[in-house]
Amino acid sequence: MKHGLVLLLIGTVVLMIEGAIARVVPVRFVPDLGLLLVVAFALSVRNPGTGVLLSAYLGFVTDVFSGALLGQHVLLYIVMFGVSRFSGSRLNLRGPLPQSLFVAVLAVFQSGALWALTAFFVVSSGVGLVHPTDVLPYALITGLVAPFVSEGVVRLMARMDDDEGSKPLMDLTPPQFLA
Amino acid sequence: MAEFHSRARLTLLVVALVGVATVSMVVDRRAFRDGERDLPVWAGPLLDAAVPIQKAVSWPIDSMRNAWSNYLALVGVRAENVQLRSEKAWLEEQNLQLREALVAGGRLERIAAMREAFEVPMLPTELVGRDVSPWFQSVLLDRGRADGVRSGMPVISDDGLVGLVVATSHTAAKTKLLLDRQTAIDGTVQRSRARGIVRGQGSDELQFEFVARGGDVQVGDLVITSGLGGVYPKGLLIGEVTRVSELGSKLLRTAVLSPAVDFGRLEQAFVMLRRGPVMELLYSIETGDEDRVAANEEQSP
Repeated sequence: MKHGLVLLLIGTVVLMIEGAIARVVPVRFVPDLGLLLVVAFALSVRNPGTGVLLSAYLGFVTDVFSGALLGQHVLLYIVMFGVSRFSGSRLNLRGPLPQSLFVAVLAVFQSGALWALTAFFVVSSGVGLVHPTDVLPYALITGLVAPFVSEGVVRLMARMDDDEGSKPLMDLTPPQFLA
Repeated sequence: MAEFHSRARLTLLVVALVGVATVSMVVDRRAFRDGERDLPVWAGPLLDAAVPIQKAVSWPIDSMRNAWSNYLALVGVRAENVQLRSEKAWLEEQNLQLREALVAGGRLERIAAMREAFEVPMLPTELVGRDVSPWFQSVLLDRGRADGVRSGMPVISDDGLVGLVVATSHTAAKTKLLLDRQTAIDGTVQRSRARGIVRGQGSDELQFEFVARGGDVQVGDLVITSGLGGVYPKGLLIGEVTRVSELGSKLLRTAVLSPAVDFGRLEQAFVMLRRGPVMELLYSIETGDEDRVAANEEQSP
């Protein structure tokens, strides 16, 4: 529970900071930190239920901070979590190179899915196609950053586990005057 | 058995979340179409919390950028000063001539009275964050419902049209930029009055679709809002034509526009604190409905 809340808070702050940085850096060169966190959760969180909830929450925050409809990223991040979890159980995604490649492919897939969802809901005006020149830099940058984010999440969770393990659940040492 | 229960619970959770997300998209789309899209109580605080955090992150970046641009601005300022003085003199002369023409026509007083009656209040805002998804083009402004900002209000800068407020919280407002793929605005070429639809492409360029027959559009033409969509007032600068496509259907042709606003450098903007119908009222006067203005003047004490 505590781990989940800490990850929620970190995810929220990371997306807020990403929004501020996107003001100065061209958007297509900013890695998709929401997707990266979802993949990292899929590969490192033990309980899949917790991972699904975390992914849905990150999707919700992304929807609030973006021009998407509320629910669009929620849906996509749940799917991305499922795909990453399933792929992680079948393929070896622990190394930096396979992880980068996997995330790059996932980013391309997500772009297409986002476009399709937007086009489906905004029927009246029509939606411009996503150009490969926009998708490729975004997928490459996101893929390159993936191993670092994944490693960061693993380390953070290991640290939280250590902190929890080192502290006794209840202080059972007798008071000084009884010793 | 325990594993079966665990899997069933997970499936139920996923189905429930997917259901909630789908319903949420439908509801949000409907709210967006109806023009009222205040964020729900559980989402608004997130946007409110983002404003101070994004301001804190942006502050050092903006300070460095401003210091550099101020330094660059000093380079060549003398030559620019001379040029601006000559332009100012020419504009003053033009202004004088136009005023004389208006006074001669007896219209200056009426225009001044109209301006007082219909002037749109503008709220200065600061841009604190940009879209976290590369597939949408929106920005976060640091003013919200507490300052009178509502969804559906146009946002402009001193260069031209920026976009439209699409969602508000107590202290923040999400604004969809012209560049967004979902944006479609009724536009007019200022020179030839050719009409068409300006669409965002998700990139730094806009697409202008106009009727091929009689559509007089040339490179360098300025495209402004027509005011006919009922959302944006008439006459706001959208951009300049940079390319006209030779290819196209028999009915429609397209041109590429460079937006008037440099969105990469946008830091401040103004929210026009009135929405659609009032805008139409304001701009209907410009179309020569002078009798009604005269009647209004007679009725007023």
